[in-house]
Amino acid sequence: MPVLDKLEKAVTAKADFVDIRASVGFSTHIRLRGGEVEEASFGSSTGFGIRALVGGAWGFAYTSDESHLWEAALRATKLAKAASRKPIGAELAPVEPARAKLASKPKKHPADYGLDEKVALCREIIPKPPKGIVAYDMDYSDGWGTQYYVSSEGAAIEYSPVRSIFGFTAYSKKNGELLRSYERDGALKGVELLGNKRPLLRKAFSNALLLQRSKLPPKGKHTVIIDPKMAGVFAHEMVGHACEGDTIANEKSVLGDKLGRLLGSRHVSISDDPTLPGLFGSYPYDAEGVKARKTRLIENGRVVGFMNSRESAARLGMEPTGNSRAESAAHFPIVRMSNTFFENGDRPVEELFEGTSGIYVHGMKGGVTEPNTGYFQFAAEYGYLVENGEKTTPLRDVTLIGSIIRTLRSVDAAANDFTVGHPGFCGKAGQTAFVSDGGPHLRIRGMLVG
Amino acid sequence: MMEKILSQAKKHCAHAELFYEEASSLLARSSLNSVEACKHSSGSGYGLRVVCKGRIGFSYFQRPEYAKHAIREAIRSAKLSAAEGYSLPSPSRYKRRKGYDRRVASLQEEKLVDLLLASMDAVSPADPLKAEVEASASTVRIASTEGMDLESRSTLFAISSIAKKSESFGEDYYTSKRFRDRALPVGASAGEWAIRGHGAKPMSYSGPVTLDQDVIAPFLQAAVVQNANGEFARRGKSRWKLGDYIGDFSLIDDPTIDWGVGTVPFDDEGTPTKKHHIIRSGTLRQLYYDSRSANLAGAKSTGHGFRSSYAALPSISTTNVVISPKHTHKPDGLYVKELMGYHNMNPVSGDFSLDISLAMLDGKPVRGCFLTGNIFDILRDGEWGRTSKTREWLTSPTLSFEGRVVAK
Repeated sequence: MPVLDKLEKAVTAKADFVDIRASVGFSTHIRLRGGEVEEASFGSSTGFGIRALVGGAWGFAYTSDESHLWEAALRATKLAKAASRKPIGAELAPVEPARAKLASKPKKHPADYGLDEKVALCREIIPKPPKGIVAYDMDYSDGWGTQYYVSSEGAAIEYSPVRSIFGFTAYSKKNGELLRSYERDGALKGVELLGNKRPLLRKAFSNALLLQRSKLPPKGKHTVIIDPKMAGVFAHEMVGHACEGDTIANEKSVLGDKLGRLLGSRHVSISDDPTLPGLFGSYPYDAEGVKARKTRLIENGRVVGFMNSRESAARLGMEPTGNSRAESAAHFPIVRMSNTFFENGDRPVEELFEGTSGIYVHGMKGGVTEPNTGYFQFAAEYGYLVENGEKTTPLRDVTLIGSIIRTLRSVDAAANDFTVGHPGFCGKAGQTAFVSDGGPHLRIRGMLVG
Repeated sequence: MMEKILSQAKKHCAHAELFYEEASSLLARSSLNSVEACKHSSGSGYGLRVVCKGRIGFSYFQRPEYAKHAIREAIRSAKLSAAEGYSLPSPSRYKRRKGYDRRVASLQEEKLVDLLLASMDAVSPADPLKAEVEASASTVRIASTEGMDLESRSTLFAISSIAKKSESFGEDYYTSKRFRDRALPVGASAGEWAIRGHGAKPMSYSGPVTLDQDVIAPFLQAAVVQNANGEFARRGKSRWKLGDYIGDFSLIDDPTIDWGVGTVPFDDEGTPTKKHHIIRSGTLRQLYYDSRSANLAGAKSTGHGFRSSYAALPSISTTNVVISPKHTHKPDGLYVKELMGYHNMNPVSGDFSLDISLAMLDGKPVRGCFLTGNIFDILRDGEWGRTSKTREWLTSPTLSFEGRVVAK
């Protein structure tokens, strides 16, 4: 019996609402240390996650065993009844139940390539390391399979995505300290992702050597110009998380009561868009079967929207935006971002530097935001001192510290060199989501550098 | 089933090991004043490691019908891998440990919701923000062509609570392999910290700083996991070497503690576990090894090869860590309860600048400022408190040092 038919039978469990997400997936992972293979592995997995809503309370059951599907469906209902002793009053904003069958169309499907061929392709793109590079590592992963969604409302969706990602790390040394440079790329693509990537890997080598000449940044408040990668991090970490409907409904976002308010400068427009073709964070339907769409979060400094699941939309009196996602069938869907970015600006990037003295910041090494207080800390890959419009001394360990609202107000210029697609894995509530981000170069006045 | 898979693998490749994991968990979670959801999860899977001429191959699968394909891919991956002269661990005798509590394994959703509601009520006069009660059980079986066939069961019980008083948050948790009804004290403590933190202000300060046990754990994680890791040491990524003076304390990795979160009879490669003095009387005496890093370093596995799941190869991880200071002192000065931004710690240089989410000075709450310093200086020069407390995998007293705090 086809999988969707089996699931549609199980979805009839007695509850106010039931949905099932199922997946059959395959993946490969390759790790090269230097040119040597440290790991080359293959894996397969299956899973069934059933959500039941009873009296405004949720029950959720997961099983990796298809023969326990019906038992799990009954269990989800029983768990919802236990939760209904003090129900959260969950309701689902209405949507038209979708029925669809979609698939990625990669040029080189990973299922058609053996581990040996993928290892060879990884090795091919690694340039000869220049003098001064003490080590380099490469990680490549791909995944393919089929995800199913059915609901008691009649939705039935089958989606077969293919995703690939790789990361390349180069190390140099200075005074015994290991200096690290990192580049990555990832997309809704197959093995073709690895094509034409030598320049990117060369950049990782040259940046690792650049760090040897770098100094620590001058601490204090500076005019900071951030590159599209860091702009993407600002869009995702600083604004995106604070615009997630579940965080807002739980009174944990500093932006929760700011809808319609002018908070930022006119150069600040931020959106989330899972429909951008081929990006790492793209998808056609979310984990509740809601069709994906672009959501504008901030427009010319004004807060204009939040990202919502069906549940958070109902709680906030808004519309679902197709942002309900789950790491796998084993996870309960929550509100997540997809591809989040600053919209393009209107000035050539050179103009942002003209007459500016401050710090130029590139890439992102790690960061954290507290959506409830609005404070954030982002550590950059590297940077430069900017003196009278010129990039001069390279910098390392540059950390940007600030508050969301003050920073949004302090963006005084946005360049017209927008790029999007920097792939990543976003963590929230113990779950990981494929995302990407982007934006143009931005200039921010009075930013605290730590 | 496992024997069949191993014998099939053996036909193609002389050595193979199958790691089977079966896990289930039951969880109840609240949001504000309500029960957000009750969840149950049950899953199992196999990790297959093969060794062909000293080269390691790996694959994983859930459904037995994928076993043949997994064997083929694991062997293919071994042929691609570097020749390491590796061989799978041989079976050894091990001692059973207290790590499975039938009460945890048999908890039902009604009881979990009782505990959840009790912990939510206990935060008063603060307000409940989020609470969670989870009971999980797992069985691990490791079998290999080298004659290994081990099985171990374990449980884990956890309660956590976050309370809110206007802009102030307080949290507490309890984690053990054994069931304990800690709903009331955990909720009450979260509520108390939310109240104590109410009205916190930023400040600049220079003087004695005392780290609570909760904030010591990430410091030790960064320092010890990176620098006492045998594989990192071999690759030149470690700051420490054997014989280095670290500080006025001993650090024992102890997988034998009854009901400890990190207690296990053998690691995920079947190597029996035992107590190790990593730092003895202030000096680094032992590095952590799994079987692969031990082989590459010409050392012996210390029984620290753990897998994040059946779908991953083993890598080095700690078990229970116990800090025993040589001299103790009374904690003093600014008491730091919560920090954020640990990713900004540089585990090699040891430098950090961390955001204080909650601290107390002379009974007044402090927040919104940065604590700056160096992990290795703190471990070397810091003074340990008199009373030890166990929080998850770490048993430690407080740690005091001369610190600097800068207001945002």
